[in-house]
Amino acid sequence: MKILGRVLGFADRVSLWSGKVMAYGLFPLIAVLVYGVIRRYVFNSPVIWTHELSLFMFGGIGVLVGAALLQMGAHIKVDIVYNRLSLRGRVVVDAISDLLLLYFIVILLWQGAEFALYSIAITEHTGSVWGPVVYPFKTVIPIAAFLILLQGLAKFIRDLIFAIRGKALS
Amino acid sequence: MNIITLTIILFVALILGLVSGMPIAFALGGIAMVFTIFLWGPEGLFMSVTATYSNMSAFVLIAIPMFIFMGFVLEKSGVADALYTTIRLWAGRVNGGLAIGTVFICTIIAAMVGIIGAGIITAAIFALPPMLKHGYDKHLAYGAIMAGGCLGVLIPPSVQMVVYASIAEQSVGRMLLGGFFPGLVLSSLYMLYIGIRTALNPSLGPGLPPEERVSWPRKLAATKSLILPIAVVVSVLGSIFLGIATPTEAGAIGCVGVVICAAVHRRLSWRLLKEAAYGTAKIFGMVFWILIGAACFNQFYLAMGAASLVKGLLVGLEINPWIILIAMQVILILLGMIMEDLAIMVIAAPIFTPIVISLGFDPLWFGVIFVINMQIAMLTPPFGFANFYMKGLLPEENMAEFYRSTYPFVGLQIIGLGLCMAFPSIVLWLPNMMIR
Repeated sequence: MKILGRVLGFADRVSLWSGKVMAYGLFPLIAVLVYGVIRRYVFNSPVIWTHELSLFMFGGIGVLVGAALLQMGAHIKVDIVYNRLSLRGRVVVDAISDLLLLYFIVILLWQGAEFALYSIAITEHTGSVWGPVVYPFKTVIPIAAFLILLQGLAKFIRDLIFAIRGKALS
Repeated sequence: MNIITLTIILFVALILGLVSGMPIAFALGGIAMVFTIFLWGPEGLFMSVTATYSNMSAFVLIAIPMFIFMGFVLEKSGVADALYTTIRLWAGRVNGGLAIGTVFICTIIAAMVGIIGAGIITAAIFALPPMLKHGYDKHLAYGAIMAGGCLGVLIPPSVQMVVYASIAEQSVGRMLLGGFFPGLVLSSLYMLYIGIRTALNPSLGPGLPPEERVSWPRKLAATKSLILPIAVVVSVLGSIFLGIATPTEAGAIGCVGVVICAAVHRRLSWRLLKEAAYGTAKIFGMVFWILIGAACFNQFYLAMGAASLVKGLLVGLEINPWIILIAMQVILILLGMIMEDLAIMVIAAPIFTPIVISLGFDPLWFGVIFVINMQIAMLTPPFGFANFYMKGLLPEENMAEFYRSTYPFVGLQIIGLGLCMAFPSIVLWLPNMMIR
């Protein structure tokens, strides 16, 4: 049990770390957007890469913070009924609903991996003037799904142990 | 299995998934994928990736983290502090002046941020202590702060408007502008209400004693605190309205604007920026994943034909369209008591929007009305988010006191909602004036 606790703690740290790194990504995102605006409206010489680069950063941040949010329990929920259950009742419901979460995220990991691998196989470029390769951006989807899967499994194991033993894993 | 049975099972599964207290994003996505595999087999599962990728590559959605970041920086930038000092000097002697001033400042802050937190938190910190010190009725003070803060949902920039526009496939720029006058209408209603109540009963909000009144030169000197915020408001709103910049670019400019405000007030620090980034990443992630879940669910909902079934049932009833519209508002108000605004939006917007369009109403107008309604949801107990913010800031106070103070303002919001329904030009005039 002690080793298990440590493994789960590791999953928590990975999730939180990924969330923090992504939060700092907001600064370059703002910088790229502002640079694009200044070049276009102040210097009247638009640059071709700010639009797509800001999208890559935005999309990356958006999906990759998912695992950290799951760790913090910060995803939006409807808890009007849930809050009325006993503590034991809640973990039992959690352990069941975790399965639906895992089901979705496994599908996203599997389908996302195929999506990215195809893009890598054909060295896909975007259709714009800048035309960068697009597979790093697409690969973010399976990576984000993998991180959420890791955290989701940790959550499921914790909820399951709590539901069976009646007390939380220390 | 026929489509009617399937639709019923889908809605039952949706309700079970929601009340289970699991993250809504994964409930929506998971349910959609369970049904997909039964109906269409593994080939349909690719929908989960298209739902994710389409949100990742939507340029307009970048406005969301920008609008949130503006709120977090503004909250600690010292701008609100200076604004409230100014209003205390100007409005102190008038009965109810501090509460009216609070709504006024909240309106300006609402035009600088896209979330409600910043308005409520700054008002509770800077406007509440002077109001209580001068003997204002606490319910009037709480209500003014909460209702004022919620204006952030309507007055652009607004995260809710962007989210709705994304789900219901409306123009983000036009939605944002559509919220402007409804926001001002509500703000005026609040100020009028406070003014009338304190005129009838000055003990609710007495004017300041003569020794606290100040001379004109000091009033004018303090007014310079308005310059920076108004510059930010004008640059953000103006660039959207004039079509100079997209809402996303305007949001990025706004971010730089509020950071400059913080620097001018000597509050800018690495810690402020770091905390703003963490806070933004968290709220943005919540919104982003819920959009992914909603996109999965909506793709399925449309593809299986449930959308046209529900639409056909309602339209086939040949009820007066206005009755359906009013019934929708009642449903939204009821949902608003028990659910968060974003959750209601992702579930109800895709169901309602096709119905509204086939009834012949303007979808943009309906979208803005919908968001006005979501703004009511933030006040209505027990699950009104504004109340939670207040409780977090004033942990000693009883939750019931906050609930009680929202009632008159909820009434005013419903009046405002009715006005925007009866006179659509309040909503549509500005977006129709928009250049480009």
